[in-house]
Amino acid sequence: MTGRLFMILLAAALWLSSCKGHMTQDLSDVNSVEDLRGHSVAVAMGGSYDLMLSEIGGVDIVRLSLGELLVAVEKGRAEFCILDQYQAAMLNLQSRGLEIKFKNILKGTAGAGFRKEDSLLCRGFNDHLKRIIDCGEYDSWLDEWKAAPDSMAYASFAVPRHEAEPGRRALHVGITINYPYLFLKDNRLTGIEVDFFNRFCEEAGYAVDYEIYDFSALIPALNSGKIDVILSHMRMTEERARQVLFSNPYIEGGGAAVCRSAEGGAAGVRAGFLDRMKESFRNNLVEEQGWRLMADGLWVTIRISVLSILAAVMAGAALCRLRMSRRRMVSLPTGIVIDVLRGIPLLVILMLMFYVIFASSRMTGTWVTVMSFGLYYGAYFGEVFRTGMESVDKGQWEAGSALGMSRFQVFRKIAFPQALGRIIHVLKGEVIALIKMTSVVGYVAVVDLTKASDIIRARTLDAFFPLILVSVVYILLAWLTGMGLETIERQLTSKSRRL
Amino acid sequence: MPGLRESIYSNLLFEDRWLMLADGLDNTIRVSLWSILLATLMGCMLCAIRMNSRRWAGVGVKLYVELMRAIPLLVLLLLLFYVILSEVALSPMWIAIVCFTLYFSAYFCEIFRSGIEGVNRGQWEAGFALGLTPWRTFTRVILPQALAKIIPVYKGQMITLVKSTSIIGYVAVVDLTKAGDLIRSRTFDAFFPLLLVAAVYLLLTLLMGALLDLLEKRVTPKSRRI
Repeated sequence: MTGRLFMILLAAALWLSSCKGHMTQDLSDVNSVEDLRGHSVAVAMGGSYDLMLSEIGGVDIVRLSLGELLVAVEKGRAEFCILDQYQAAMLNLQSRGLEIKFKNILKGTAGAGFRKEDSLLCRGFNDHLKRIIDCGEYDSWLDEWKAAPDSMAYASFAVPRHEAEPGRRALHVGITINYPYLFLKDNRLTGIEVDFFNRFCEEAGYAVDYEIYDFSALIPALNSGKIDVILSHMRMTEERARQVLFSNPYIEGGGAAVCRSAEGGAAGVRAGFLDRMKESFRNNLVEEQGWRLMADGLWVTIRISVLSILAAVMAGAALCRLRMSRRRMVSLPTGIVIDVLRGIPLLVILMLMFYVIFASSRMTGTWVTVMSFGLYYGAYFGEVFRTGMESVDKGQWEAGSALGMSRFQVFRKIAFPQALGRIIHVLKGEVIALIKMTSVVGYVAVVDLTKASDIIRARTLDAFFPLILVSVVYILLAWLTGMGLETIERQLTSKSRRL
Repeated sequence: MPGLRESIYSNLLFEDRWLMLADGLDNTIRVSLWSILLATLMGCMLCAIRMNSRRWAGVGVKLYVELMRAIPLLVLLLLLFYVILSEVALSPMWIAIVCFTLYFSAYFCEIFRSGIEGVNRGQWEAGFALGLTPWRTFTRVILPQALAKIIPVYKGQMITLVKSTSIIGYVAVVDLTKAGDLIRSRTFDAFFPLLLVAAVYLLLTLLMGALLDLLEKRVTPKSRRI
C-alpha cells in the first residue's frame, strides 16, 4: 500500500517538475521570419503575426497585450517581439538597449471592419474614403500625421460627435490602443485612424462612442453586437474577411522584429534610481496628463465596487432566503446555482455575461460587470449570510415565538441583530476580495484603475512605475475599506449588545 | 443541431484545437497543484512564526499577511513578472507559481492560525497536565481538533486558488482560459469556447471539492474510527 502510494507520488513529482525552463541563444543569424524558429517571440494575441508564427511552426510564441511586447523583450521574457514597423521607428529603441533586427514582416493593408449586415454603413465609409483620396487630401494628411503624430494630435479635428443627426445612430467603435494609430493624448483619444474616423462621422452625421478592447476580443465583440465598427489597424486576412465586412484599405502596415541590441543589452542610460523614478513619474503621470486617466480609472473602480457590493448584498440576501427555505424544491436548486457560481472563475462568468447572455443588449460593460459581480459574489455573500443566521441558536427563535412574535419579527428583532456582527466580520474579507477582483473588468472594455495603467503602459512602454503606483492605490483602497468596515462592525456589535 | 456540430468542429476538431485546451488544462492543473503544495508549506511556516514569535518576526509576518490581502493578485503577478523577478531566469509558469505561493500562503497562514487558536486553551493545559511535551500536545491533542475547523475553510480557499489561475494568461502561460481565448481568436466564436471553458472549470472544482470532502472525512476526529 505505502509502496504504491510512493510510486504515485513519484510519478506526480516527475510530471510536476517537467514544467518548461528558460533559454537564451545567439541572435545574430536571425534575419527573416523563418529564422525565428526555435526562438521566443512576443506578439499581440490574435493578431496577424500571431497567426503567421503559428503557421510557421516551431516558434515559441509569447502572447501578450500590445503594450507589454517591448517590455517583455527588454526584460528578457522573450528574445524578439514584432511591432508595427512605423511604430517601432518612432520609438527611441536605442536608449532602451533594443534594436530593429529586420522589417517588412507581412506587409499589407488595413481597414475598418463592419458587421456583415451593415453593408450600408460600410458603403458610406468607402464613398467618403474614395472622395478624399481622389481629391488628394488624404495623402497629404497622412504624411503630416506620419511626420509628427504628437503635434498632429493637437492640430487634428479629433473631436468625436456626441450627438447624431436625425435618422443617424450612435456608432460604437471598438479599438485597441496602438500608437500612433489610436492613442490617448491629454486624456483624449486621438491618432491617425481616430482622426480619420471622426472626420467620416462628422460628415455623415453619426455620433461616435469609442470602447477599448483587447485586440483578440474585437471580432467576437463585433459579431455579438457589442460594437458596430472595428477600428484597430486590423489587417484584412482571408480568415477575418469571413467574419467581418472590411472597408476599402486606407492604411498600410508591416511588422518589425525587435530584439536586445548586440552590444551588451542595457547600453543606454543607466541613471541613478531617483532620477529614473523622477523620469518615470513625469513620463507616466505628468506628460499627456496620465494622472487624469488614472484618476478616472480609480473613480470607475470605486463606482463599480460600490455598485457591485450593493448588488451582491441584495443577491446574497435573496439566495440566502431561498437556500434556507424549508421546501426542498426551492432550497435544492438554489444550492446547485450557488455551487455552479462558485465553481466557475469570475473572469469566465464575466465574459459569458458580456458576450453571450447580454450580447445583443446595448448594456455597457459597467452594468454587465456590476451584474456579474453581483451574481458571483452574491453566491459567496449568501453563504456568509446563511452561516451567520445558522450560528444563532435555535432557542432564540423559539423564545421569540413564545413571546408571540411573528417569524419575520423574530428575524428582524432577535435573530438578525445577533447574526449581523458575525456576518460583517466574515463579509469584510469578501468585500475586500471583491474590490481587488474588479481589476479584471478591463476584459469587457471598462477602463478601471488596472486598465488605465495598462493604457499608460502601452504608451510609455514602462513596466515599473504604473504597476507600483496601481498596487499602492489598491493597497490603500483595501486598507481603507477594511478600516471602515471594522468601524461599522464595532458600532453594530455594541449597539446590539445595548438592546 | 447543425450549428452545434459546426461549432464543435471548428472550435475543437479543426487543426486539432482540442489539443490546445488539453495543454491548457494541463498547465492549469500543474500551476494549481504546485501552488497549493508550496503555499500550504509556506503558510504552515508563516503560521508557526506568527504564533511563536512575539518580536519582530511575528510583526513581520503580520505585515506580510496584511500586504498580501490588500494587493490584487493580478497586480502582484504583473509586478513579479515585469519588475521584481524580471532579471531572474524563471519561466513564466514558475513565476506564476511563485506568485500564487506568496499570495495564498498569507491566506493559508491566517486560516491555520484561526483554526489552532479556535481550540480551547484548556486543551493545551490538559495535555501538559498529562505530561506530554508541547510538540506532542500540539500533534496529538490540538491539531486533530483544529483540523476539523481548518479543512472546510481551507477547501474553499483551495478552490479559489484553482479558479484564480485563470489570470496567468496575462504572463503568457497558456492555461485553460487562455487556450479558450486562443481558440476564440481563431474561430471568432464568442459562445462555444467560453461555455466549454466554464464547464471544465466547474468539473475541476467539483472534483476537487469531492476529493477534499473525502480527505475531510478521513482526518476529522469525529468521523474517524479510533
